Amino acid sequence: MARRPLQGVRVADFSWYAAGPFATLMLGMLGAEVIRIESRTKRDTHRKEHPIYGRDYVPAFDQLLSHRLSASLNLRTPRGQELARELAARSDVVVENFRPGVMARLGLDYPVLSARRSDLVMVSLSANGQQGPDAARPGYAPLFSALSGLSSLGGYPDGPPVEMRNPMDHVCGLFGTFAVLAALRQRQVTGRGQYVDLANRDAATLLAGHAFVERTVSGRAPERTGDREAGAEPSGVYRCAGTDRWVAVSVRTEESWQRLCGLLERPEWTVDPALGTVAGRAGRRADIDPALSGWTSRRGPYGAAFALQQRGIPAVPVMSGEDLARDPHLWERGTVRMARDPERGEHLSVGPPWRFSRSALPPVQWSPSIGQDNRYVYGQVLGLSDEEIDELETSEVLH
Amino acid sequence: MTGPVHPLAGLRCVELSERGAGGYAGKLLRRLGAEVVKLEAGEGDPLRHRGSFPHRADGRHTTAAFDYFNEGKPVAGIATGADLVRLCEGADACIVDLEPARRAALGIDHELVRRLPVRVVALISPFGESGQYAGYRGPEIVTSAFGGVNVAIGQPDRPPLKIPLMQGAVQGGLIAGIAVLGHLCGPAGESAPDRPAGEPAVAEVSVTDVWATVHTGTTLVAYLFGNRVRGRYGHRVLGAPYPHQLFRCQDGWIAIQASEKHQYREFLEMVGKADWYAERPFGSRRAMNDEHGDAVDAALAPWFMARTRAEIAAECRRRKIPAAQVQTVSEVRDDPALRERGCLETFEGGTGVPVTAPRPPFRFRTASLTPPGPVPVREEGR
Repeated sequence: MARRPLQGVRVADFSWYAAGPFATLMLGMLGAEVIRIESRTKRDTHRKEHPIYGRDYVPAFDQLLSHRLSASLNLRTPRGQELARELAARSDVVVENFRPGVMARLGLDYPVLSARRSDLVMVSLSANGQQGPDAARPGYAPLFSALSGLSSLGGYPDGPPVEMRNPMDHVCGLFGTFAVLAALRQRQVTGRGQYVDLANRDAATLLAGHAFVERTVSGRAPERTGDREAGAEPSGVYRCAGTDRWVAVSVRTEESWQRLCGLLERPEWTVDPALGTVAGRAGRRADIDPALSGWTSRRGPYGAAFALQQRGIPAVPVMSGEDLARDPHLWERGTVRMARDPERGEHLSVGPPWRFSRSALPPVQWSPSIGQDNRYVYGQVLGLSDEEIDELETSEVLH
Repeated sequence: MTGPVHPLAGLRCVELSERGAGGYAGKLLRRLGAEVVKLEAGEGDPLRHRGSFPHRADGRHTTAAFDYFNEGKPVAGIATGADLVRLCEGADACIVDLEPARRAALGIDHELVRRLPVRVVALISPFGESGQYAGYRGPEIVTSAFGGVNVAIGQPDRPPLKIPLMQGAVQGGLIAGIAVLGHLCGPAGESAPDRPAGEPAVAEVSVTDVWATVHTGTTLVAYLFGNRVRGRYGHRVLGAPYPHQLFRCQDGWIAIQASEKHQYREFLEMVGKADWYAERPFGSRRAMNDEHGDAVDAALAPWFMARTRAEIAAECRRRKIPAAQVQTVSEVRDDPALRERGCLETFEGGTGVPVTAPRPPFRFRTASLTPPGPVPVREEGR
């Protein structure tokens, strides 16, 4: 069986909430052995009861915390802290996203850990970085979006900003993965480890990157443009038959425009020189958008998108969760797949965001229960005997 | 042993990009120390003309998006896939983000990709190399709409929205960069035990897959694991405990997310509604959010509208309630905290004007980023 890229790399995962676990999720999907350190004494928010979903953890948990092992460990005990140091010494990578200062208080900061293993790679994700006046401030995804300038750009041109959900956490996690891999590359060359301080706020600001360039050149802050895309007209979402059904369309080229005119049965537009450019069509939006909406509203989103794509015009249904879960393209690619567990039955799962020519998709993995891999981690990795592990469990060091 | 100043020093990468994603991956790799050469086919990267915020000066034409994604890269032109093979000699990685039809027009098919003399190739496309939509074209709004992002953003009675700017390029670029580095930096990538001599590993990245998997928190995961369909809720998030939203105040908007009980209690005390904690006039916190959001907001509006963003942010800070002012790009740019942390940098834009933008967020203990460089003009390297 082909190896996956990070097979042989061990990650001690002290992360919780979302950004850190996303970083280690990617590492796990790349083949690293990710050992999640967690405790029943202070459960991750994803381990808590959730009234809406009627289960003892939120649905994101099965995606976010999959592809890893779980070792229970009470870091409030001196023995627990020592075991954590030993595990870090047997790991290539440590990832954490506690508030700045917590790892040092536990005796798990980089100077301590790297003294035991000089080639250790450690990445700390935090809201505002490890140092500075805001370092101790907590943060959540919507706050990073607000601080980055991105929130001010999200929404309808004639309306207030809108909430953009939580992609900030995911993006910060991806930057964390990037940081781990870059540091591993440096270790390959130098034999030395590395520490990376990654502030979620900084990462979020990058998402608005080229708006800053625009601000510099024009002297004005960019404004909300809704669903309009630069360099395309018509561009946006158009209502289809059905409740809250839409199709997204983007016409960038002259060729696409000509074909759209044919579809809309508006031959006079094909010879109108004023409509031969994006700017010209933007000026006639009041004519074009109703015509396109009139055409799409008589069709379902799949039918409309198919007809447009058949003519080479970029278009797709605006997908709901249900659409995604049933889409044949995503099933064929393994983007959506079925997870089966002898005890927990079946449910849908999602695959990794890449496909590799030399390795199969990673196996579908359920999220672990707390401490389910204690015997492997403390026995095989740290070399403790069964009796020692039993004693540590009885004394609630492994808890 | 002293390490290289830059983590990826010594790696060489060739980037053939026209859609932003390849450019973004190349930008991050370059700033981490890799040597990145940008290739442009035919008339050049269309992002020079069709990207966000076009500019023209002194006969040069560029866009803010092109500048941001491509600062500091040397460029060279190619006419066919054979040129790509030739220019990949000596490189470790190649990143291509052209749509399948565009690749085909240049003679870049899968057979040619397997002949590229590099260790890993990242092929980025809107819908991937397999599946019934593999040949579909997909600009930003198309990939994010198909990935399930848009349906949950916007007002419930208005059309769905995309996340602003070019987030598909950013997400696709991040994943492509991770896929490339995974192959080059891990033990398996180093020894490549299963890689036939002369044939690169190929990492295929579908931008729609990236949205649908990495960002499933918005839509897919809710359906997969709970059969719940999440809808748009404007400035709030459906299914979240109140408050998890933007509040209008005297001079704009402020984001507040008081998830923990003690934060919620402080929030109620701050807005003068401490009695709500025990009396629960709108029911549970989720009912407050999902069923009575407008009524709750109306009850709190006088308090918020009597104060500025800065005043509310300061009070939240004092009470340890997570909050942040919704800042315009201009405000972020002038934010003294961000400047003090060195989060912004200046480089020469495509029209020769110095421009300022955020620097990559990595801060290494014993390594540094390469500095930003001037944006390549079309004639360079030809």
